[in-house]
Amino acid sequence: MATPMKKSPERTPTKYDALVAAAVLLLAVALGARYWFAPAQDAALTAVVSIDGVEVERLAFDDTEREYQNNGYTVHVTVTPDGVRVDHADCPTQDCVHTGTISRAGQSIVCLPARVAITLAGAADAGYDVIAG
Amino acid sequence: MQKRAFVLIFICLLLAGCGKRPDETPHRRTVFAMDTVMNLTVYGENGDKALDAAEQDLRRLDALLARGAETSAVHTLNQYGFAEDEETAALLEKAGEISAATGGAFDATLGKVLDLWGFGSGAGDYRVPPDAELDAALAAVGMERVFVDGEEIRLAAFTEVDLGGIVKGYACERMFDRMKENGVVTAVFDLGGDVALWGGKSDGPWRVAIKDPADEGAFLGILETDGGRFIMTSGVYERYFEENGARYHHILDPKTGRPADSDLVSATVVCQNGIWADALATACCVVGADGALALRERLADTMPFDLILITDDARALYTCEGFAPETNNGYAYEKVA
Repeated sequence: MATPMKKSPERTPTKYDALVAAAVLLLAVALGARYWFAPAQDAALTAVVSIDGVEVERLAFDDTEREYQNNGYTVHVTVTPDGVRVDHADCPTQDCVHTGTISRAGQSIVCLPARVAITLAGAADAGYDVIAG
Repeated sequence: MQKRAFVLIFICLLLAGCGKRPDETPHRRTVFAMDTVMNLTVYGENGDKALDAAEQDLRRLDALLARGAETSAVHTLNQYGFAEDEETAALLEKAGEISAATGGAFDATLGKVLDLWGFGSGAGDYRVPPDAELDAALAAVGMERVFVDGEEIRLAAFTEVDLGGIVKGYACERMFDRMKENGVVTAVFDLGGDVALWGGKSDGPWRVAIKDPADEGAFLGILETDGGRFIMTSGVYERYFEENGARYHHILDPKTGRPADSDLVSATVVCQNGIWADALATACCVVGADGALALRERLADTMPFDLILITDDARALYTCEGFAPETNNGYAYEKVA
C-alpha cells in the first residue's frame, strides 16, 4: 500500500525570506565596495626623498630641482619626466652622482655621507617585487 | 523562524570569512647602517614589532662590527690585537672557512689595504697607494693571521680585519631570526641592492629584478625564486675612483692588494646562506667567470648556490632555473648547467 505523501511545507516566500535575501545582497554590495572604493595604488612614479631614514618629500616626475643639506653635505637633485638624478654633490665618495638617472619603481639613489636617499615608488604593477644588484 | 535566523547568521559568517584576506599590509622602514641604506618591508599584523626588532639588531651589529665605531669589538681587535666577543669570534671563524673554500679569494684581513686605497673606514679619501706601502700592508693579510679560541680573538702583528664582506649577509640572517620570532610570514630586505627574501608570497614566487651593471635604468632580467634566499651582488661599478685616466674599484684581490683584475663586471650569488652569499659575490669577482663557475661546482655538495655573471665583453652567464633574461639589451646570455 502506498504511503501517503507528506504534505510539503509552505513554499510561499515570507518576510523572513526577504530579510535573508536582503541581508545577503547588502553584504555582497558591502564587500564589493571594499574593493571598488579601496584607495587605488598610485600608478604614477614618485620620487620619495628621505633624510636620515625619515621621509621629507615626495616629488612628481615634473621638471624640478631640489637641494638637500644634511650631515655637512649638499646634494643637488634634478627631476625630469624621464627620471631623477643627482647632478652634483659635495660628498667625498660621489657614489650618488655616479648612479646616474633612475626611472623605474624600486630604484634608488643614495648619498651615504649626506644620508640622503631617493627611492622611486608608486607604480601599481612594476612586474617585480624588489631590485637586486 | 529559528531555522531562518540560523541560516541568516550562517550566511553572514560565511560571507565575513570570504571577505577576510590574510593581512598583507606592508610595513616599511629605511635604516642607514653598515655603510649603506636599508629598505626593510615586512608584511602582516606583527610588521611594526618585527621591524623594531630587526632595526634594533641592525644597530647592535653595526655598533659591534663596524671598524670605524670606537666601541666595536672589531675596532678593539684592530687596535689592540685582542678582543673578546662570542659573535665576532664566530663570524671570523666563518670568514676563515669561506676563505679556505675560495682559495683565499675572500679574505677578511684586508683592513689596512682597504684603508690605503680609501675604501676602508676612511671611505672617500681615495688614492693609488705607493707600491712600498701596499706591499707592507699586504704582508699582514691572510686569515691564518687570525686566531680564534672560544670567544677570544687574537691577531698577528699589523693585521687588521674588516668584516664588510660578510656583515650584510650576517645581518640578513639575524633579521630572519627576528621575523621568525615575531611570526612574520613574508618580508623582503634590500640592503643597498643586496636582497634577502623571507617566506613566501600569496600571489606566487618572488620576482626579483636584477640590475644591469652598465645601465642604472635597465635590468638584466627577472629572477623568480622562493623565499629563504639571499641575493647578493658585487660589482666593480659600485665604488670606484679615477686617477690619471684609470679606474680603480673597491673589490681588492687579497693576493695583490690591488683592484681585482678579472673578466667580471659583476657577480650575483643566490644562496640559502646569507654570509656565504655575501662573501661568494666578492670572491667570484676576484676569481673571474671561469673561477666562479668552478667554485660553484666545487661547493655544490656543501654550499650550493646559483650565479648571474656579467663579463667585461658583455656576456651574461647564469645558472638559475628561474631567471628570465631581458632581450635586446646587448648582452649575450648563456645558461650554464
